[in-house]
Amino acid sequence: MLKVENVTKYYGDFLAVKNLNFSINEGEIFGLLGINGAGKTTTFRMITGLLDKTNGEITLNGKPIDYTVTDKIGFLTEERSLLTKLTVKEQALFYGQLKGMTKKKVESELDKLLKRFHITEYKDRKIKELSKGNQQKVQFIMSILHDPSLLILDEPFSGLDPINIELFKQVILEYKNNGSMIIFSSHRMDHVEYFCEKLLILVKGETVLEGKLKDIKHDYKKKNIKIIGDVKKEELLKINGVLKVEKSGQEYIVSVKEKNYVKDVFDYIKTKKNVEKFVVEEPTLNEIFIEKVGESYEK
Amino acid sequence: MKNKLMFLIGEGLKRKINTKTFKIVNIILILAIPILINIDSIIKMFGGDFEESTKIYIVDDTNSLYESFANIYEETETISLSQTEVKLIKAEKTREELENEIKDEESKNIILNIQTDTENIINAELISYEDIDQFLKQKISSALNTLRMNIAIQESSISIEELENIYKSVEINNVILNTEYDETAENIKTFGYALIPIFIVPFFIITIFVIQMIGAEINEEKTSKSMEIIISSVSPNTHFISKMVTVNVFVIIQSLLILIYSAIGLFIRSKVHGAGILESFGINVGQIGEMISGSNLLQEVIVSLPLVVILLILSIVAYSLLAGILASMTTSIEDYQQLQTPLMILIMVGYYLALMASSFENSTFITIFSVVPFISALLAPVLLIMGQIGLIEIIISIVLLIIVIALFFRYGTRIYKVGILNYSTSKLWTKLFKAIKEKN
Repeated sequence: MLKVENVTKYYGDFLAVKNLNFSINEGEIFGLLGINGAGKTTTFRMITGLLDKTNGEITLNGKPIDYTVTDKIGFLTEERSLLTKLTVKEQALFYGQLKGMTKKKVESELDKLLKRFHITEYKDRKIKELSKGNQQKVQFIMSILHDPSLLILDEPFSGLDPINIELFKQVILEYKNNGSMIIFSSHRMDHVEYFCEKLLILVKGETVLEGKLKDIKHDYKKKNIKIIGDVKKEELLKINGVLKVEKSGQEYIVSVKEKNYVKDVFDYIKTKKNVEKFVVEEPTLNEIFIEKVGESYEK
Repeated sequence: MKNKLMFLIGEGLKRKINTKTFKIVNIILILAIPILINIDSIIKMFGGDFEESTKIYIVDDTNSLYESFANIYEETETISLSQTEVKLIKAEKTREELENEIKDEESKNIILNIQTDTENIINAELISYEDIDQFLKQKISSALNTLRMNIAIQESSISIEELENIYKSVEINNVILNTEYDETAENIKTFGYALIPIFIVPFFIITIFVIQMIGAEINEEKTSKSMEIIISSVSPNTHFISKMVTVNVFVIIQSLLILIYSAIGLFIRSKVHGAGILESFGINVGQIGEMISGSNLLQEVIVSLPLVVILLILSIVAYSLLAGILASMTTSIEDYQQLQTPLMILIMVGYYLALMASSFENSTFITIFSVVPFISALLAPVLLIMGQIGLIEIIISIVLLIIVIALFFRYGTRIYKVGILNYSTSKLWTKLFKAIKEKN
C-alpha cells in the first residue's frame, strides 16, 4: 500500500504541494490530475525519492521512501527519459541492473516484453532511430521491466496510435490485475475514467477534489439529459434549472443544475411528439475537471 | 549502494570505451603518434634536396688560397643556426662553366670566387641561383676575413710565438661571490626550463579534457531526463562520485594508451637511428647523466616527486568536482560551455604564470599564486624546478586543495542534488544558494 500523509513541499518560499493525502491499495489505479504546474511532477518526484518533502510522510508497504524502496517503483515520465544513443537492449541492461536485476533476468524479461509490444526486431537498434511511438513503447517497457509494485504513469499514451493505445491499456490492466499499485496521470479524461476507481485533482498544489470516481460523479449535482425529438433549444433554455443546451447532430444535450430539475425537462418533453430518446446521464469527468479547476483558478 | 556505484562506474567506462569514436580515435592515434615521432625519417624516406649538402665551388683566381681558406672555414666556429649542410670543393671548371651549370639546373650550389686586387688584398664574389642562407654568408665572410688577416700577419715580421699569442683566446675567470652558488644546480635549472612545456602542456590538455567530458556526461543524462530514472535508483552523491571516477579513470586509460603509442614510436625511432631514444633526438645522455650524478637532484626528485604527483591528482579531482557542480546547474551543453569559462580562465592563469615564471624570478605575486588551488598544479611544480619555492609551498598547496575538495563535497553535492533536477534558468543562483544552506 502506498500512503501519502499530510505531505507538503516548499521550494524556498514557493508552496508546490500543500497537505496532500491519499492512499493506493494493491491492484488499484489512482488518477492524479491537474493542469501543468499543479504539483503532479513534484508529487511523483517525492514518491520516487528524487525530492525530499518539507513535511508529512510517504510510505510504500509500510516503509518510508528511500533507496531500499525505490527499486520497487517504476516511473514512466511525461517526457522521454531514455539515453537515445544506446540500443534498446543496452538501455534495458542499464536501467534494469540499476534497479537491482541480474543481467540474465533483464535479458529474459526484455525478450518477453518486446514480444508483448511487437517490437522484437528493435532490440539491437539505437533508440534515437525509432519512431516516437516505438520510443514510447521502449520507455514503457523500461518502467515495468523490473516488475514494480508501484507504477507511476505520467501521460503514458503520448505519441501512440489508437491500436497501440489499446495495447497499452491491456498491459496496464494486466499489471493492475496482478496486484500492482498504479498512479495514472493524463490530460485525457476519457482515459482516466476508463482506468481509475479513485482520483485526486490538484490545483496550485492544493487538493480540490478527491475520492472514488463513482462517488464523485454521483455527488456531483449537475446532470446531463440527452434528447432526440422535436424540441426547440429556446424552449429548453426557458425551463427552470436548465444551465445550457448544446446540439450535437440530432441530439440535444441539456445540462441541469441538479437532479430535481430533470422532472421539469421531462414534463416539457411529454408535450412533444416524436421523442426518440430521453436519457439522464452523470456528467463526464472532463466537465467536473474543467469546473473544479476553473473555480479554483478564479479564486 | 556501493555495488550501484561500481555498476555506474563500470557501465560509464564501458559506454565510453565501447564506442566507434573511441576505437577510431585510437586507431588514428596509434598510427599518428609513431609517425609524428619519426616524421624526420619519413620525410627523408621519400627523398628530396635536403639529402644533398650544398656544394661551394671555390674558384681560386690566386691559385694559392684554397687550402688556407678551407682550413679556416672548417675551424670557424659559429652558432649553429644555419640549416645548410655545406661541402667545399676546389673548382676544376671555370667560373663561367659553373655559373651556366647552376643556372641550367637551378641548383642550390654556390660559387665562391676568391680574387686579389691590385694591392694584393683579398676580395670575393658569391654566386648563387637563389639568395643564400644569411648564417652561411656570415661564416664565409668570417673565414675570408681571418684569411685576409693571416696573410697580412704572415707578410709582416711577427714571429710564430707572437702570432700564437695574438690568436690565443682571452681567458675570462668568472668569480661568483654567492657562496651558495652551485654550477651543476644552475645547469639542472636550465635543463628544467626545457622540461616545463613537456610537463604543463599535457596537464593543461588533460584538465580541459576532463572538464569537458564531465560536462557532456552530466548534461546528456540531464537533458534526456534519464537522470530522473537514475537518481530514483541511486543517490545524487553516488551518481556524482561515479561521474568523477568514470571520467578520471577514462582519462587515465586514454593517457596510458597514448604513452604506449609513444613508446612504440620511440622504439621504432631508436631502431631506425641505431641509437638510444634520447640520442636519436640529439640529446647528450652522458652529459645529463654526469649532471645528475654530480648533484643532489636524484634525492630531491625522490622527495618532491610524490608530493607533486599528489598535487596534480588533487587538482584534477578539484577541477572534476567543480566541473560536475557547474554542469548540474546548466540545462544544455551550450549553457555549460558558457559556465565553464571561469574554469578555463583559472587554467589559463596557471598556464601563463608558469610560462612567465622564468622572466620574473622570485616574484612575490607569482609565489603567492603558486599555492592557490586550481593554479598551483601548473605553477608550483615549475617554480619548484626553478628553485623559487620549496617543498613547504607544495605542502601548503596540497593542504589548501584538500580543504577546497572537502568544501566541494560538503556544499557542492547539495548544489548538485538540486541542480540535476532543475530545468529552468529562472532564479537559478537563488535556488543554488538556498541548496547550499540545506543539509544533505
